[in-house]
Amino acid sequence: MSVIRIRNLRKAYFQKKVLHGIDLEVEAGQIVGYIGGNGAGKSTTIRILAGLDSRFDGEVEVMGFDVQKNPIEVKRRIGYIPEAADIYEMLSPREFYELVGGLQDLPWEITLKRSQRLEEYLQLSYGEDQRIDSFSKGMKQKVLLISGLLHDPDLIFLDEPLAGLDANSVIRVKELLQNLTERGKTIFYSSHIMEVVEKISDRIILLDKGKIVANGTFAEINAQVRSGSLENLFSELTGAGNESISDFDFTADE
Amino acid sequence: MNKLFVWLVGLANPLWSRLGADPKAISLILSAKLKMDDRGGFAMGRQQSKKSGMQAFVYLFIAMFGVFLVMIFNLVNDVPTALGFVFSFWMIYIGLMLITEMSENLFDQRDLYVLLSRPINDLTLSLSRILHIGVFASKFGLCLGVPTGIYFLGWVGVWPFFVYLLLSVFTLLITMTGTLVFYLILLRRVAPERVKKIVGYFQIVATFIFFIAYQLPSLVGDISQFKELVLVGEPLGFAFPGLWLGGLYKAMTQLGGGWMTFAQAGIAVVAAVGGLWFYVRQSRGYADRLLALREVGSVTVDDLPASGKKIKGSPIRDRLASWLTAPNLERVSFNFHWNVMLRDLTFKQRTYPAMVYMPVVLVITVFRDAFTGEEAFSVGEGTMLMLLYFVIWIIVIPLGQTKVSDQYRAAWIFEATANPYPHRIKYGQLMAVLGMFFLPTAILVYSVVLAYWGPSYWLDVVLGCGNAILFAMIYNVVDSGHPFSRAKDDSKFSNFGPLLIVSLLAPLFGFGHYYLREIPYALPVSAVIVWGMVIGWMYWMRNAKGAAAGAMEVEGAGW
Repeated sequence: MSVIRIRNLRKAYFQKKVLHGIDLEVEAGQIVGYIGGNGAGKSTTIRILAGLDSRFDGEVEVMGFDVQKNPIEVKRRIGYIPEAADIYEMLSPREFYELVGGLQDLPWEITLKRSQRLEEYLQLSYGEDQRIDSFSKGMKQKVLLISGLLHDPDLIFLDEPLAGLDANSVIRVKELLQNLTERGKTIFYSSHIMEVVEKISDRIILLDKGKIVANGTFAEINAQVRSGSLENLFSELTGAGNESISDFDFTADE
Repeated sequence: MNKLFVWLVGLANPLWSRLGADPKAISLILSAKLKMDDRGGFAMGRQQSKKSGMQAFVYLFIAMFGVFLVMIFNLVNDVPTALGFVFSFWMIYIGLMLITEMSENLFDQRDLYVLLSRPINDLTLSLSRILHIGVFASKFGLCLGVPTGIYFLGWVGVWPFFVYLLLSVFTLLITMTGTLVFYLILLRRVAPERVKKIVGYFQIVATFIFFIAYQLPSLVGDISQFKELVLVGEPLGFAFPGLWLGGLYKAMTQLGGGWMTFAQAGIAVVAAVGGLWFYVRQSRGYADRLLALREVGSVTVDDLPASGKKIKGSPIRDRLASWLTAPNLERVSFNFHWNVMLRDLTFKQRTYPAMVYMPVVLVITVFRDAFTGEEAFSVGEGTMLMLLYFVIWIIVIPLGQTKVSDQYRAAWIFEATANPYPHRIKYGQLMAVLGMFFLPTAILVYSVVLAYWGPSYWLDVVLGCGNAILFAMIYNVVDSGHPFSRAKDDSKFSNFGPLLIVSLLAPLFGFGHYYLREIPYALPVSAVIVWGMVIGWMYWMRNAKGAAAGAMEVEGAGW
């Protein structure tokens, strides 16, 4: 069953075209690594898929719902964890979960139970009723992750979810993602950290200048380009590896 | 204009070098900060749209205030005393602007990454800050001062004009250093985790005092009594720094006036020069303190001090929530709004002074005639209605501020979640504001009305209360948008338009009530209709399904 179905998705900010006719289908129960250079259109795609941006051309269905016509139904079924998002820092994590759980129409008892389990799993500990504004960056990121998973979504969009996390937490989050896919969840994962994407993704989609330039398992894509690692593959497919950089000297003309 | 100021600052480069600062770095920092000011002041780096149109309007308004100040010379014959008053107004006005607009600048911790990671010393950093603040103050000083300058050049004389120019600089120096030294002492003497809180509350109190000071002249009855007033050179001339400058003016233009004039002139010089010296002295170790201030925001559970940001239980909130909301999204919204209103210092800074302002205006309006001695004190039914309807402001001011936040980007959560009952958020928002602000005020006001005018006025109270809540509901619809989703310095119509509409429409409710009193049975019928509308509307808010209300006004692609 396809949880994401995109046909000829086009998007422009004013005169600048960001997405140039993307076609994509994603099956349930996969971890999809969505990678691309800065400004390639990754976050834009995710915002559209999450029902946050309805100003685009093309057809986009998520969990069987048209995101333009039924954004509420889409949001009910997905989890969205944006990159470096602001959260209400004057609240305690519990109060923040109460807000997010409430917005997802989740009973407080369930919100509390799930958040406690997730906090324990992600090793997030804090003083009773401690406010988020006294947290480190990694702790805030964990709160953000937990808040996106509270309603047990079937499809989870993660935009750089490991930002700010320490090594142990990264391992925990990776395990959590595997665990979620085993339970039939689909993860749509955007990141610049190629090593992690290569390791955890069942399928990799590489976006370059608003177009999909590679789509398949790492082995499938690597068979075409023979780069050895996702990092090299990325460099080959996005054209960054074509220029010679070894003899670069920024003080050369002085 | 920024380039002009940077050039003027550059003229003193030998002085900066002599003091031990880096003139080139000062010039670069100043240019960058002035550029950032033009693109959005408070949450710098977040809002990049130019705000020159709004700024021009503000400066025009200040220049008009400057024209008004020239009239003081017509009211008071003694020029030094009149000038003392003018400079006193400058100090209050510019001081307030510094307190409300530039305090954040003093504690801008992005400087830690951007500036302190470069090879510049403490003095360069703190000098660039005071010069930045100086330019900010000078822009206001220029707008305020030009009309008085023209008056001096045309009607008083060339030498007094030059003295006036010099004293304008002194006024800015005294105002700036007076304000900043307070902050610097705070930064040095008070524990970092308390500094921001103290500054925040200081801003609230200072704004409140300014509002009251602004209203005081309206209590003056017969202004002709000021004609022969002389304060400079008299004991009262020591009372306010503005009058010291009047003493300095007198000493420099009339070369006489007795020892008290010279003493006041001396104090003015010492205040300006000494203030600057003290600022430079206090600014040592500034970077370390700034770093300490930043670290307050990055502690973990193990090193959180006992006095850290802990949340106390709120039995009042819980009790009111159980009375006013159902245990669903309504209560979530109620608790969320209550918590943010109670904890967000910037919300308090925006809300509290404006809320206190209304009672002050009300008291002055009611008692002005008695104060000025023009009429005997009396309160009739008109005053009662004014009391009943002024509570609308007590709801509308905080309600409007629940749409605005420095953390407006955090409102993405309302867009990203599936909320089948978006109106319950608005209901919880309204109830939280009613519970926190309206309820205590209403109990007080309605008790006063019933006690003073008599229980027979209960129908007026019922109708007034219904109207106030109905009005707040209308306002909440007009002013759409997610909770805390707009930037503070967003100069779009949405930030001030609804309040403007309220200002125009609110008196209509009061007048309507006044005329209904003349028609038999109109009051009870109106009360039933109004309360019927309120209850019906609330029922709809609590049960209607629908698309999320309002659109995000979050700019940028950071989420």
